[in-house]
Amino acid sequence: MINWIHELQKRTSLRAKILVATIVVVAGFTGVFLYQTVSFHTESALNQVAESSQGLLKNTYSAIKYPMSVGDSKTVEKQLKDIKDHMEGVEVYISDFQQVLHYASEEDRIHTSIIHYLWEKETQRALADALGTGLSPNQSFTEIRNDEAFLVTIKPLLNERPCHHCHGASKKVLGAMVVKHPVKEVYASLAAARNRLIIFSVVEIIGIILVINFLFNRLVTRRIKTLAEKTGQVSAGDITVEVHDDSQDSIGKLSQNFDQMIRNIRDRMEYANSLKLGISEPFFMVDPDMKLTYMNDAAAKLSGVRSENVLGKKTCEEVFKSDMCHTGCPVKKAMETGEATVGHRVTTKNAEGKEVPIMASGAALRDSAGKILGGFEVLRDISKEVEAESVLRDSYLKEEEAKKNLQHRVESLSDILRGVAGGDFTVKAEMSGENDAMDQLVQRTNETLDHMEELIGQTKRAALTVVMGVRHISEGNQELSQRTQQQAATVEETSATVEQLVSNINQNATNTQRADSLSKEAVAVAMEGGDTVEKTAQAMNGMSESSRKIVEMMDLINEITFQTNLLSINAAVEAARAGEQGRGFAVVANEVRNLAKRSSEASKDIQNLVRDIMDQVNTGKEWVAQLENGFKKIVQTIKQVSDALSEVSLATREGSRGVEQIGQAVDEMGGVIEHNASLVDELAGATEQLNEKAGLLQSMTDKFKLGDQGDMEVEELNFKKSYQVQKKDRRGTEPPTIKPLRDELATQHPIEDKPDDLIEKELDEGFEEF
Amino acid sequence: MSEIKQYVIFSLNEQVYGIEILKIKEVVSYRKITPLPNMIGFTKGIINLRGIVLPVFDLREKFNLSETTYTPFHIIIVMEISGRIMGVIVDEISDVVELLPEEVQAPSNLPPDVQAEYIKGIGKKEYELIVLLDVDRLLSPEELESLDAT
Repeated sequence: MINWIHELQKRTSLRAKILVATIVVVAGFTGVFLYQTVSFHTESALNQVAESSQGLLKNTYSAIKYPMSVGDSKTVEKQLKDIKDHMEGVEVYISDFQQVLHYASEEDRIHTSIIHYLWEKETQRALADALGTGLSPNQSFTEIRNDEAFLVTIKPLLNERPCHHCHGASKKVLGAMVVKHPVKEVYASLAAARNRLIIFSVVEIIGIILVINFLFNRLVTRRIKTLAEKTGQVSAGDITVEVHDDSQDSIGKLSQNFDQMIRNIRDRMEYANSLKLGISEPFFMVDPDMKLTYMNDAAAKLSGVRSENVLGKKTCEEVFKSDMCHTGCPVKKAMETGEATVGHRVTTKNAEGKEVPIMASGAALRDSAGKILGGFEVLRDISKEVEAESVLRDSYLKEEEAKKNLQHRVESLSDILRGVAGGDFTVKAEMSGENDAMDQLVQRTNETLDHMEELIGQTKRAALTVVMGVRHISEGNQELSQRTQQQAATVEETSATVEQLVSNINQNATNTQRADSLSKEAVAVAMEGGDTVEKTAQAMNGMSESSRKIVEMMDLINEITFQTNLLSINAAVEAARAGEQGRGFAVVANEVRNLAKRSSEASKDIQNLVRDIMDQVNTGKEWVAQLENGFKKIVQTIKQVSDALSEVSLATREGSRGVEQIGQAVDEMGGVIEHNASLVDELAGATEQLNEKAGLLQSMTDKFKLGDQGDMEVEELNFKKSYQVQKKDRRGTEPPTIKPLRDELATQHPIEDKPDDLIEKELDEGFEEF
Repeated sequence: MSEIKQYVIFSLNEQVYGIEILKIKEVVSYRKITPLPNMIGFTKGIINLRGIVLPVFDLREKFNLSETTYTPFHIIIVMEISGRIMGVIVDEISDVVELLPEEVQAPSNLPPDVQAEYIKGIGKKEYELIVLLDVDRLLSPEELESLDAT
């Protein structure tokens, strides 16, 4: 069933599917709506009828309640008759609790059972319940028979107090009142309305479906169909199609994307074609049946056919007639395995029957699912390469022959060399006389063997020398060890001394600094002194100046004295001339002269004194000047002393650092000497090993048999002499440092064997160098 | 020579000489001497003394003593020599002394090699010897003539 639906769904067109779906949806929704509307209308109409029945019931009950309570049956009957008369079709029944009618709007039905007039079982049961319980059923009941329809409403008549006087109080329910309200018209109007609604709905459904279908067809289906047609063309291989849909909805976008896709595919194909056309080597393509589908000009030229004659008609085998077509066709292999085959060498025959060697590479062509669509092959004409190859092969064969000849000669030479390897130098290789490279090799080998023979002879001698030398080295090494220890002790002492020196220098530095500060103080004092001296010099100058003024004044006094003297003499002359009269005047003149004389003497004394003072002042000035110079010199000297002290301090500090560095150097030297000691120990071990090896060397060289030079006995060589010779050979010239040492040793050990000492010393040197 | 005579004492080259006071007119300090052409050796020139022109000569030259540089403290003694008023330049004038006759020694007692013609005598005052000059004999007649010629 599901399969059938599925099948149907596949086959039907999109338009039909959408139509069906639209019908189902619209009809479903409209149907539900219609049903709801109809049932609502029916219910509301019936409710109205039920309410009117209830109203009628209540009215009737209230109308007959009193007549019944007073037993006025006539009024009740009248009431019911009125109802029948005025309300067409409405039937009212009043039954007792045994369902026997006592009153009825249809008079002929009195005293019959009410059951006969209630058609539905449900109604009958509801009446029985109401009579039993005294409760009104909370609904009305619809009764339909033939084309009659009634709404039945039931109300139980309870045994109320006004009824007790007739019926007593024992019974709860006295009976029931039933109203049958005809609803035939209501139903008829409802049916008419329903029918109208249905017709309207159907028309509406058809309209909606038509509009939706039209729009859908216009907006979706037709465009999709066009797209489907175009894609169908593309899938059939036509990629020239173009879709024009410039709307911006999703189908428009789909169309544009499809268009773009087609363009991309065209680009790709164009790219592939360009690749295909761009291959200049002979190139062809086949389908899975090996029929040619494409062939470029180079391939056509190679095979000697016209491509339009063969494409799609002939297989590649018929065109190229290759020797590999059945055994290992590269394209076939590539199509079988799916992998490209590279560089198969093939011989093809062209249309004229000429054989052409080619190098063929094949590969499969496949679609995106990996299915093989065919294959292609690229061919390369390698006739030139093949020609070159045959030339190469010929030369290879020639070479092979020459190689064999050479091998033979090499083997004979090898035999001789094997003998040599075994220590036999007595056999010599023979020459072929061709004077080629091999002969030269033989000659060189013989020369080499001669040299080796000579060398081994020398080695034998040297080995003995080495053994003896090693013994001496060992002895020398012991002494070196002792000396190194002594050196270590000395360096320790030196280190202690240097430490002492460092502390002394530091003390010096402190003292120097103190002296420096003292000298600076002295400079200050001396400068003060210098100032004082300068002031003194100024005072002296003042004195000198004063003295000079005094001298000037003295000159004046002298002048006056001189004039006075002259006057007194003149007075004396005049007095003398006056004779006796001038006697008294002469006395005065004499007194004046005496005064002048005394004043002259005093002036002379003063002058002398001032001169003395001036002399002394000048002397004083000279002294002060000397003193000033002296102070200047003192200041200068003290400054120089201070500078010198600063320099000394600096130098001392540097010296201190230098000495500290010396101390470090000495410590390092100690380390080095320690290291030397350990090296000397290692050297002792090494010497031991050397001794062993020398012995080994000696025994090894003894194995060699030497030819005409002979196994000469190793003569007991003068070791010292040979050693010296070796030294010279090795170093060229002796280092200049050795000579004084040698002399020193010569003076130290004049009686001992000097050359021995010398050797030791030189050995030491050698070790250091080592 | 019985009475006491006054002498003006002057020095010349550290030697003390005396001249009779009455021969002396005046003593003046050295002043600028105007030299005259064709003067004889010892005459220096002439000076103006209060309007009177006097010839002046240097006694050093006369006594063949070394020349000296004149200072304001040199003295020109204005004296009368053989009736002529003349200025005589000396080094220094020191005193006026009175000499008793016994204090004067005649020049005859002098050693013969000393020029004696213008030495009047030697005065002895305390420990000092004063050469007393005879002014009128100080110049020779030839010298006086040459002076007169000027």
